[in-house]
Amino acid sequence: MKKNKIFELPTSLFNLALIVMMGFTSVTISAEEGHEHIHDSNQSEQYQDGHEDGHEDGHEDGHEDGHEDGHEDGHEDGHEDEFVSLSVEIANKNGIKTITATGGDIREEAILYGKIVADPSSISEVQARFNGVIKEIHANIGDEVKKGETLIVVESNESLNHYSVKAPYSGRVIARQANVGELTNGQSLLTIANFDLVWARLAVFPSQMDMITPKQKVVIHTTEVEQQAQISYLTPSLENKPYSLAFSKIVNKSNKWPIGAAVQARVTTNLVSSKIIVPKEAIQEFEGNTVVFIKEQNQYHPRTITTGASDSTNVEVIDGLSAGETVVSQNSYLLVADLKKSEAGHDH
Amino acid sequence: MITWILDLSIRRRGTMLLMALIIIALGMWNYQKLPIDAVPDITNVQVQINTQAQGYSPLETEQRITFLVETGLSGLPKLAYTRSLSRYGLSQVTVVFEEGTDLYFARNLINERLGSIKEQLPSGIEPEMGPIATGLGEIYMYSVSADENAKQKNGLPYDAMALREIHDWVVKPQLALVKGITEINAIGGYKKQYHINPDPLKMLHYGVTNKALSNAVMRNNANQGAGFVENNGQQILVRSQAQLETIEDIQNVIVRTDDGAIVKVKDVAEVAIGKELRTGAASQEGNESVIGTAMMLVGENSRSVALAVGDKIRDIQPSLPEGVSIVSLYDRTTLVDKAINTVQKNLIEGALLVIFVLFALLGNIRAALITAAVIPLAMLATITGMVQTKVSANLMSLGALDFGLIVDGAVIIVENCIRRLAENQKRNGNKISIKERLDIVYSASNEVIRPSVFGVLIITIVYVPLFTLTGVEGKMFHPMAATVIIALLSAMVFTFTLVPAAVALFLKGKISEKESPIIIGAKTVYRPVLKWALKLRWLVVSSAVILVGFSFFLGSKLGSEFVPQLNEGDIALHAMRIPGTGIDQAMEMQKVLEQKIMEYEEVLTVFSKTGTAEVATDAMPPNVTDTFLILKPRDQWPDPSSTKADFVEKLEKGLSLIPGNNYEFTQPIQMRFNELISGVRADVGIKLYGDDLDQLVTSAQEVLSTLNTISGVADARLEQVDDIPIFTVNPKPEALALYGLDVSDLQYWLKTVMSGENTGLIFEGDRRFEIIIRYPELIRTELAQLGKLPITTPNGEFVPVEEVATLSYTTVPSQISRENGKRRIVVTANVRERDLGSFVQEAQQKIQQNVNLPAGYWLEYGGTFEQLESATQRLTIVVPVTLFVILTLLVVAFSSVKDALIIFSGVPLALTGGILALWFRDMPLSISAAVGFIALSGIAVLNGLVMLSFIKQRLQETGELINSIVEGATVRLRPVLMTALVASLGFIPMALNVGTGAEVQRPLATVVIGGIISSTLLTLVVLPVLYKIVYSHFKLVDSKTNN
Repeated sequence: MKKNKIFELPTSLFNLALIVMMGFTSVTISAEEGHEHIHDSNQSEQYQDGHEDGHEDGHEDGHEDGHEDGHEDGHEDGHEDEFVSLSVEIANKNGIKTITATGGDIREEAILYGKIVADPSSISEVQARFNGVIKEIHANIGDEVKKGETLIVVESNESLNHYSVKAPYSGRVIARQANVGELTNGQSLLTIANFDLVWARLAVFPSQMDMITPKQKVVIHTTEVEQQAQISYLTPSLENKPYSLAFSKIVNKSNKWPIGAAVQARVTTNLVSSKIIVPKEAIQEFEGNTVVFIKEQNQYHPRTITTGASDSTNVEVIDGLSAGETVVSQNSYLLVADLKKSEAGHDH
Repeated sequence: MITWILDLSIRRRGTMLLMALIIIALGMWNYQKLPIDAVPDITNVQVQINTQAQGYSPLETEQRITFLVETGLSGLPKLAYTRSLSRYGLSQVTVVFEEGTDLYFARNLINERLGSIKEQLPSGIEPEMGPIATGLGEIYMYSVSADENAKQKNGLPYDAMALREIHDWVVKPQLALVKGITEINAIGGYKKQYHINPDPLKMLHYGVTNKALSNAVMRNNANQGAGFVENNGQQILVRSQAQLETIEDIQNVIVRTDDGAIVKVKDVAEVAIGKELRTGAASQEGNESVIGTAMMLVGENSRSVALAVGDKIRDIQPSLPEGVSIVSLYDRTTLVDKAINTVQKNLIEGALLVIFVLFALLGNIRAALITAAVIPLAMLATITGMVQTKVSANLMSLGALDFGLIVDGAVIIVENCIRRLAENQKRNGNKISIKERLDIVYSASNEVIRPSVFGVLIITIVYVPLFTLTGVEGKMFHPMAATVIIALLSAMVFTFTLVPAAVALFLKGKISEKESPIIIGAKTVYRPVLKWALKLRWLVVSSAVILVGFSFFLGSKLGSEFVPQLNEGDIALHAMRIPGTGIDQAMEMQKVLEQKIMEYEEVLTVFSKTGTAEVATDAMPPNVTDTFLILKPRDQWPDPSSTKADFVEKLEKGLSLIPGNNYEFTQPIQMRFNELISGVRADVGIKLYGDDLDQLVTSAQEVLSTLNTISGVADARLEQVDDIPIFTVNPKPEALALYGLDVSDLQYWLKTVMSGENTGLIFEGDRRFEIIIRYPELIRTELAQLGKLPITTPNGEFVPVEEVATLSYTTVPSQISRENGKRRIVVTANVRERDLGSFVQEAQQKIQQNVNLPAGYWLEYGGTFEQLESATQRLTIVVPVTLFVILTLLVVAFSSVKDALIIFSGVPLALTGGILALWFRDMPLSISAAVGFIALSGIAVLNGLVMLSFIKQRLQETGELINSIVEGATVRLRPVLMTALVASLGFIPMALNVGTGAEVQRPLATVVIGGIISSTLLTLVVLPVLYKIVYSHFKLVDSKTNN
């Protein structure tokens, strides 16, 4: 990769040939003079110039005050002294955008998966109080029934009186086990269910256990619909499963939450009101520290920060940044890349 | 022997001329077969074995592929060494064979081994040998682009993926057929794929696992032939047809039935055309593009192949959809033509100058033409010789040809013949009989044949040490030495065959031999000067010695340079970003860079290749971009007087304003050579071999710090090992077991989510596209959320991934290098102001004392010092041997050691002028200049030879020393001046040329011109003086007995 290097050998070799040929012994020519690499020398120049260039901001010529890396002085304590200078034009061209650091909320979330199950109180097996012969049936599968509506008329074996069996609550007939003329025999005759209210039964795995508590807000969704709810209660799983169950009520007036549907739930486990938040894209890693870039005039300085809570878009800054500072929010990778570019090589 | 041939040639002069015709015909025929290129090929005999392994990290690649390939190849006959690198998704093993190994033989051997290696590799992994090409192979590059308004059949504008499809299925198959092309390598755009993007929630809903989905697609996408039946005498073929053809077909594949409910692919996943996970991208002038590179088969004529590719590309254009065009970006023809033009121009101008000088000094146009006729004849004979010895024509091989040198022998013969014929005519009137003429030609030729043949022979011999160069230098300078030697030898043969024959045949009638005014003038000046010099002989000799001493002092002050870089006219520029930069980020940065480059008016176009192309001839990580700048011809530059170097400087300054890039400037061919040859190029390279990567780095650092304590060390450094970030999903075995899963379940799931699972092909006519199951971009790119995704357990339940795996960020080396079957790391250093041998010795000693290597780790010392040592050894034998051979020849020619030594004194005198000329033109001492010095030594000897042989002859005839010296020297003034003038004038066009390739020839020509001027002036004066000094101490009788 290094230019010219291939041809290092021959000169010394030829010097030798010439020397021997002519019997002269003292002509030595250093073969080392061609070693310098373009970018090496260039690099050192840049570091020298970097500081001065801060004073030249007024130049109209974008080339003059364009971009250079700078060390303020020979401090050993790290990267705080290094910065990148970019003219407005070049920053725009490279898609570098900034925002002003402000406060905001960080919503920490846990993701749970589960199924829609029916509310145990919403399914009723309709039975006859006194066994007998079924005389009439007024409801069929799929029918809506109102509370108190007569569903079945039974002739009691004991009294031979006809009595009606009424709907315990409004709902829909989802199963019918009886027909006219049959004996009731204490069996379930109709199943009425009311799915206006269903439950999301969510699996809480051990690692999530600490985060999930009742009353937490949760957004539950299938691939089609979404609903805000809250965790009602947690129970251990009954069937020796390695997870606990969290239940959450879902209003299902629209019937878009079929029993058995898989759902995903985003539980808000923690809502932090932070003094300073920055977008995730602003955060970079530089020399082992977490940094954001602060824009001061045309200089971009890396600033070590301590981060706290984070959600899918924003990160809380606990230390290192104060409100009102201008932070690079987009393409900050470019600035890290520029600070570290001397490391960029190409070895085959 | 020579006299017999001479006699034969004069008697059979017609036959000789017929032979000339044969040589012409042969030369012209061979010219068609002569491989022509701009620069000599310096690639070693190597075969690359590339293995693509989609998704493999560097460590897996090394462990499961590279290691097997490497060890499988060990012990091949003629193997020099192997080296390898393992990167993300790519294993590249380079097998280097000993010089002179037949490439096809080598490839055959490897192919044989690859068969058994394949069985050990993971399934679906196929090692492939790289194209049969050398560093000169990339002769043509083109892009496929579309108008902004052009629309695809589906009404969308052409994007990079559509262009890539056109390239792969329309352009490539046609170009691959061009004779002399071994590979068409595409980069850029995306390969079209059909993607099935499962929705985790829906998968959960229907209880579908990744495996079930992939099985369903795989098992429902095939045609099956089922033989035939004979039905009433008719044969009917049976076939079942169920190949998937469209997106709808894929969507409707049934994954499972659930209580009679059918679950189709579309119920659990989106199906769409998707992009591959690419490792390479291309752009042109700031826009995404598709770039193809045509690679030439080794040994082909790059000019004719590049022309054929260009023609084919014009043929292909009509077959492309409307609005799509194929544009030539880089065409080697341009450079080759420029280089040939340079050589041609130099040779033609040189030849014309030579003819002019001959005419001016001989005063006879026929004689001048006869002499000049040697030029084309020697040229054609050289071409024949080059084809026979498989030397290619290029700037280097043709660069050292000087027609002045070639005609030297002929000049001496023709000059003597014409002088004698003219003398004879003056004495005997105008008519000479044919027999008389033949006799005169014979004796005149015979008189000077020995010095001229010996002279040419000596010039030839001084080129021989060039053959002892090895490696890259050898490859550059062997062709040059071979060509010059062939040319000189053929010219020498013509000198005593064709030339006398032609003289005998054509120089009849009245011989017009006008002593030209120049010669007359020169003689009137020369005679007194010589007499005066003979008187002040000690002053002359001592001032000559002082001059020589001074010029060698000056020589030591000259800068030094390696071979001057051939200016290819275009710029190749590595744009490098920090390791770990992704390809899309790199492309964004590259686009900004290219827009900036296009602001320069000197630039015709710019295009680039980021990362690794389809065929990994150059395995680059995605953070590195090869950027090619095609420059406009200089006269179209805003400032035509500025040079390319000026422009590069300006460019570098301008580009440094763009953040995030580091640059390295080179040239297209040069870059390719560097990529292929790559190895330790520092003076000392200490290779540390071992197993554990961390231990290697630790030990290497110890070696480095020890090395830094040794005096004379310079730029010692550790080979750069870049770390790149990596996200690991490491299984928790107990947790997995608890949920009924195992490690491979987790890893299969991870692969499907991230890189995708290949589940078959979709055929569209000839075109075939992969069907990939991969999770949607939104999900797979959110690494933070990856742990929360559910993975389905065998009992139909699920568990979040973070429950069964540890997810974390860490770093791994971006590449693992191995050499000769072992991991290695290199510490390199240069040595200043100290001789290499003792440095290495001390280093070895100190490292042994201070560095404690664990068992299983060992060191190897290499670097250029090895080559230098062996070269020194060779040269210490070859150079004295050469000198001895020359001296022997001289002694044979004169039967006198004294004479031989006197002639030899011309060499340092000649070098004086060469050094002064370099100093005057402010040129460094380079290897080309050294070749010039070599040629010079030969010419100087020739000069002395001609002069001395005549003086000696006179001395024998007259027995009077001073008179013989003056007379002999004066008579020989003309041939000496002529040979000197033709040799130096022949080089003048080269010395002044500024065209392509001139940088190689300029120093050579400068040295020769300067040297010839000094050597001529000094041999004319100093040599006779030396002769007098030496011989005045001896009685004449002695010299007579000597003979």
